[in-house]
Amino acid sequence: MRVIVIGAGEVGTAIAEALYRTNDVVVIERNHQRYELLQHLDILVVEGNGSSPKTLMEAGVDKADLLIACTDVDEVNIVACATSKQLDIELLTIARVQDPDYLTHWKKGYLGVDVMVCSELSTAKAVAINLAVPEAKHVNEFADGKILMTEIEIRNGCPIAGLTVLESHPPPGCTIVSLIRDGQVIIPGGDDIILEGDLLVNIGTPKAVAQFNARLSGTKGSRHVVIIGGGRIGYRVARLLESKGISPYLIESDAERCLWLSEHLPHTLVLNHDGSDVDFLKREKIHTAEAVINVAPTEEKNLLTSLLLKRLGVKRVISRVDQTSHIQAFEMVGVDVAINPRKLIAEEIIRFTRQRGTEAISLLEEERAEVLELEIPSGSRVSGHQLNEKLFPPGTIVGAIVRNQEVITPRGEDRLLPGDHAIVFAVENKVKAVETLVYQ
Amino acid sequence: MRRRIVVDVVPALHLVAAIIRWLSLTYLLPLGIALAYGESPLPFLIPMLLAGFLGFVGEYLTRTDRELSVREGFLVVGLAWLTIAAFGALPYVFVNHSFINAYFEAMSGFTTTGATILTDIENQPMGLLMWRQFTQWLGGMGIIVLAVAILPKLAVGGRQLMEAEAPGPSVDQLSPRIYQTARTLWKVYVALTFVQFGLLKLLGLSFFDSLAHAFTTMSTGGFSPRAAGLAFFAPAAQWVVILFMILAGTNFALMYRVLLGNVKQLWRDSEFRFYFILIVLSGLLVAGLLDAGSVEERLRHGWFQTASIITSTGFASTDFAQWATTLKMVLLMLMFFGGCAGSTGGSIKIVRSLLVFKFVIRELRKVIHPQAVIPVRLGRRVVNEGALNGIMAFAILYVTTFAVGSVLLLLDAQRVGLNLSVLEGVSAAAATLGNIGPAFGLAGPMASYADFPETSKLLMVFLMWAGRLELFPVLVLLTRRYWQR
Repeated sequence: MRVIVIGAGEVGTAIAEALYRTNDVVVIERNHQRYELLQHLDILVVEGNGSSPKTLMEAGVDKADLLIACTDVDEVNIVACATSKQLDIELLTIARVQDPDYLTHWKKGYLGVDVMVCSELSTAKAVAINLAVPEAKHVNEFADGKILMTEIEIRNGCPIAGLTVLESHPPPGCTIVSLIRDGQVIIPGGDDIILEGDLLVNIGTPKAVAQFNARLSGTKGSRHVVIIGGGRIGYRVARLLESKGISPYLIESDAERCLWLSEHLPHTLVLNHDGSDVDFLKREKIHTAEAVINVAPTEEKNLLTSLLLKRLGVKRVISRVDQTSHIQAFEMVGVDVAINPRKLIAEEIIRFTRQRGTEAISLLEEERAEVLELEIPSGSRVSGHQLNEKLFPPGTIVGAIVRNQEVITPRGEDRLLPGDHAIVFAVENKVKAVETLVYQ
Repeated sequence: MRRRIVVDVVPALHLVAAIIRWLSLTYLLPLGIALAYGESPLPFLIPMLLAGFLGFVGEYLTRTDRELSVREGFLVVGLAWLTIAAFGALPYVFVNHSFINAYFEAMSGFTTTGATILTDIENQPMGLLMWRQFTQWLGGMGIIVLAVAILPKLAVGGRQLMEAEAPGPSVDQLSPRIYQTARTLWKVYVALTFVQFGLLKLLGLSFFDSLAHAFTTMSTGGFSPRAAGLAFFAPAAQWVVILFMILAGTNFALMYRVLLGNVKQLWRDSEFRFYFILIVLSGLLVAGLLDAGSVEERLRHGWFQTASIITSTGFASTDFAQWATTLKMVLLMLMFFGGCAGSTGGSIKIVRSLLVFKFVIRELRKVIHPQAVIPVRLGRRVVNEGALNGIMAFAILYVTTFAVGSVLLLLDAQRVGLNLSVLEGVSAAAATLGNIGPAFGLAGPMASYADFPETSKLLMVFLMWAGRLELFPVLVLLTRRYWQR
């Protein structure tokens, strides 16, 4: 497949990295310095403006199958898709936007863009899911939210540290699919021992997963939540929380914006102040909050605020991070979850480039492992076979099956049937093998 | 040095004269009743000719092509109500009442207050009694609203006039043109009056009684041609009156939408919801505190009196002036709520009471979170701060006027040696300012305001006038800035 990626920012780079091994990738980037950074990948880089027809032709838009417009400018992305669509009607176009208004408009049938993904919405959603499972470092939904995958750290004093996977007794509906130890992905057997410091990946129904994680860390879901930063992401997060019956606090320093927010968020308490003022945070009893979500626009300030929040005794701080390389700094000051809008959107876009049937994926441990959602076609090689026949290669595990809206926790004697959705955990180099096995 | 008056009086007077000319037609109804009962038609014939003549001459003398501006609108509204009450007083004068008493009765009529100076009601001529009822019906939906609906010259500039007269913070516009809205409101009003008239007639009341009470229920007036008021009627008729009092206190624009089939809107309207719950709960409270009678009787009297007071009608199914002091205190508190905005009810209005309450809650929350930005909402809509300030100012002005009025009434009573208790004096001020009517003691529902000194009667005329027009349009006329700059 020939893929054109417009914009070699963090999103574009992540997409190119995920795709270049199995596809012909062309990246269009106007900044010469940035495209130097792509030299280690086996791709073609075209210098120029991604919305100009001339550049697009140069990149071979007429021969391409897929166009991904993921610059940081919404308008450029939309125009690029529309222009390319006119040059090649067969092309599948994906546009990344940040303003959800475009998404609403697109849903009514905006021409030229086949798929539109919105960073703000997916970030807000990621935050909200993370709040629902407060202990996890990484959470992802599959099968329309019927399946949850979480990644949780085994801390000092965790009741299952030192037990085998079998002895840890996950509740029915929850499967331990992997242990990540010192960056190594392990698919554990029943006798493998869970150690302190491991990252445990589990898959199952939201209820069972939440129950299991609560047992591991001894905490409950968050009710009193404070959001710092009333930008578009902050607003979306507040909206999502309101829809889940939570009445959050929202701190925003711009008075005009506060008026707008307070009008549009009936169940949110909007506070007009600087979110990094310690006296103010103390006065508002910030330490009683079960979680603080830090989504202010400047990364440096977020880092400072996160540090303050941790000092004030906030149990859980979720912070927005704009550059993947800064995540470590955030973790050093004690941030529990660092959410990177660009990484999220890259995941969402890569999802569409998969073979038919693979609906949702999640990247773990800097892409050393993936969780896939596969729809089993009729006539697939795995359909009708029991899981213990070992058709799936080593390094993969079926974590859950969704059949007619029912969730099945797979055992060895279970069979996969056509129409099932299988949630499969696979280490990086087995992803292709799994997809080939299921679809050919 | 005298400063020049900048208010353009001439077009304002022109409009008032036109309204008076049209008013002459309204004497036809009592005239017909008088003829039907074999009474002298003169008390109505003379005012009719006089109003027609003076209106015509006034209109001719003030003819002008200058247009009415916003500022003159207040003058028109204020003046129209004063003049109409004067013409409305004439029939009483011709039947041998003093002018002050007649003016009080006419103002009480047009403002739908329902406070009366008549002592032997059932011995008055039938024509006069019907006139009394009819003035309330005319005043209920509003003289200006009626004028806007029928006078072609108001078809364009009528909006601010209606704003000045309409009960509640703003006019709920139903159609693009204001005269269409005015007509729609009057149509709903006429239709509901007719339905109530039919129901009362079916329940066995005479033609005269059915019409008389339909006139004063839908207008939340409260006059009755019977000395015993509504206590005279059977329980079934009283239940019908309860229902129609509640309807009369509801926003007519809302009722119109409900009649068009949008029934869900009724309960979604937070003002109506508050209004309805208030009547139900306070009625139950009163029923629970009453110590005599069957359950049906107590519920009926409870709901009748609370609906009557809250909607500012002022009917009584029993002499509530005889009730225990605690119950009277409950009724006194209820006098401050009023009907919904855009209804015929008086007093502060439910929507304002509700917003004042929400404003206070907001300020309480702000004590805890000084930096919080909290909008005040009505349903899902956010009320803008400017409108909120206006409503707070109104509430403060209303309570101040009430307090000053109460003190003046008590002082005046002391001056002439009238035996007026504090509760009675306070309730009389609240009942006239809120256009409710009966209060307690000598102003009670089975008594009469006749014993008050004339100075007090004039004060109460002012309170009724200012209360009906919701203070601002009247009080602005009393400021120097209005006239000079």
